[in-house]
Amino acid sequence: MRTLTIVLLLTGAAFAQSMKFAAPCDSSKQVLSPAGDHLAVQCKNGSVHLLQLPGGRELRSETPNTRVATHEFSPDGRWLGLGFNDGTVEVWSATTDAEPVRWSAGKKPVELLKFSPDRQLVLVGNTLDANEVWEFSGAPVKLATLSSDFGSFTSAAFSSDGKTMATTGADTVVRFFDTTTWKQIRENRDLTLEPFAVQFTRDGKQLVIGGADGQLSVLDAATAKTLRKLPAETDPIDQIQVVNANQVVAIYTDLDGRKPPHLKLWDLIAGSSTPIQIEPTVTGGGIAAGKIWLVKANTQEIELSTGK
Amino acid sequence: MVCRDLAAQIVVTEIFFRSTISPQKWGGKMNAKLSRRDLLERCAAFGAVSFLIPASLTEVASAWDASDAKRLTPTPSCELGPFYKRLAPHEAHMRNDHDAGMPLWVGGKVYSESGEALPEAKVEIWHTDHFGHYDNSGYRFRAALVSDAKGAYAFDSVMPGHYPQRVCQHVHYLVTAPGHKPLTTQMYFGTDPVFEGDPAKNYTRDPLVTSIELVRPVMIKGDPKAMMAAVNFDVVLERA
Repeated sequence: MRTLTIVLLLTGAAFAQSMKFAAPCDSSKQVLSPAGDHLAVQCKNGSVHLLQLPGGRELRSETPNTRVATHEFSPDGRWLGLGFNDGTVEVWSATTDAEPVRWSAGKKPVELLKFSPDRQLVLVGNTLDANEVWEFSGAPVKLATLSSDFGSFTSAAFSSDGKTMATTGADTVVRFFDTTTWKQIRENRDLTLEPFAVQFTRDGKQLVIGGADGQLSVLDAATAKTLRKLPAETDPIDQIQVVNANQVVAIYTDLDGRKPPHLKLWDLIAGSSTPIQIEPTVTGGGIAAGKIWLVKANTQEIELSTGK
Repeated sequence: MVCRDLAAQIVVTEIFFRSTISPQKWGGKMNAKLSRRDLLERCAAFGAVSFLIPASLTEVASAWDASDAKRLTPTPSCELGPFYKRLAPHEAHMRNDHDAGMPLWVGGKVYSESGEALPEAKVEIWHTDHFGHYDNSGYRFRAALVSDAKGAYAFDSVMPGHYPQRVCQHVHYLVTAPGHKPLTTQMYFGTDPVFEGDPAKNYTRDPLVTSIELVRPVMIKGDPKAMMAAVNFDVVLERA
């Protein structure tokens, strides 16, 4: 399965219209930092590289003994989190030469990392049943273990003030947690199929969810009630990124691996969508100032450019 | 219930043995060939055991043996997979006459770790059709079953197909019962071509197959014109 990662660039960093630099490896995944000033590259040989943009200078790299299952930047771009197959979590500083913070969060592959926007907290989810909140400002400390009916969380999003975290779970339940107490404060059980992606809207008043049902569900963040469901596609929604007040990009991925992913720009109010055309050579990307940035990576070089 | 109470009492008795009886008290060394009944008789003679329940030594010994023999290991878990769907119908007969693929019957029992059959356990299963497609818009090849008074469940369907992202044919399970941890796992078929006839050697070809226990033998039943694959898959739930 090709994984296409679109990351919202909150600051609208001053990109040139395109940039090109030598690739550190034959990469399988590229993730842009929210500030648009770093690119994390996961390679087919198992190594991970943190590159500074626009020049592509390598800040740190590592070839771990075990496969990286996921990697994720913090919202402020200061941290890059790596989740490994053996349950290890590493947090790299993207702005200093500090040694990575490393700890074990169990023995199962870590497949979900989500940083808080206002504290050095990260939600860690593994493939089976552990959903843990860790603080890493000092020696890593587990602050909470969050429950589900069964299985792990599949995605999570923090409100912009960091006070609320919303999660989706393999059990199909959408949960809201108070990040002070880590108590569940609301839930929504309207979904029947597994959700894979969740985002708060810009104003924080609504929650947008997508998953195996191939449609966006919009929830009221204050009550957790379903406000509306947008028209369904046949393929599952793997990721959602917020573009502006009313628009999101949904990335549809055929999880059976039979066809490549495709993107749609959805207007949440009108309920209408526009397909986003991408070339087959696009392997990743991001969004800045309302424009989609696309990444093309091959064994020789990595190119970032604005989308059409 | 009587059996459970007896088993609880036996656990207490066993701890008592371990903590208070040294081998020397038995005349120098433990006789490994002592039967449970012999052991209990000797303990009773030394005052090292007393019974708070109205049961003979033979009954206690039998229950103890049975308790040891029935201790079961929880079924290994596997990841849930992306296409779980809530509210599946309570319908064990999932196969229609026109469905492509070899007819499949799967049955088994749900047990606790102590070997007790668990009635009214919820057994949710789902798998692809013969062509490797999950039905996400509807509920084909999805069912939510309830184990009967003997802990048994069964369903008939078709052999699931392969699809590009998964190496092996599989049936997803989510099994829940009060007082036990939910089990998410997957059942595989020993006849899967991926295993090339030797599942014990080749089961790791699918990285999601966490244990050979999950690869089940397949029995072919019926006459040549109406063959059916039959699989037994018992599950053991871990106490919460």
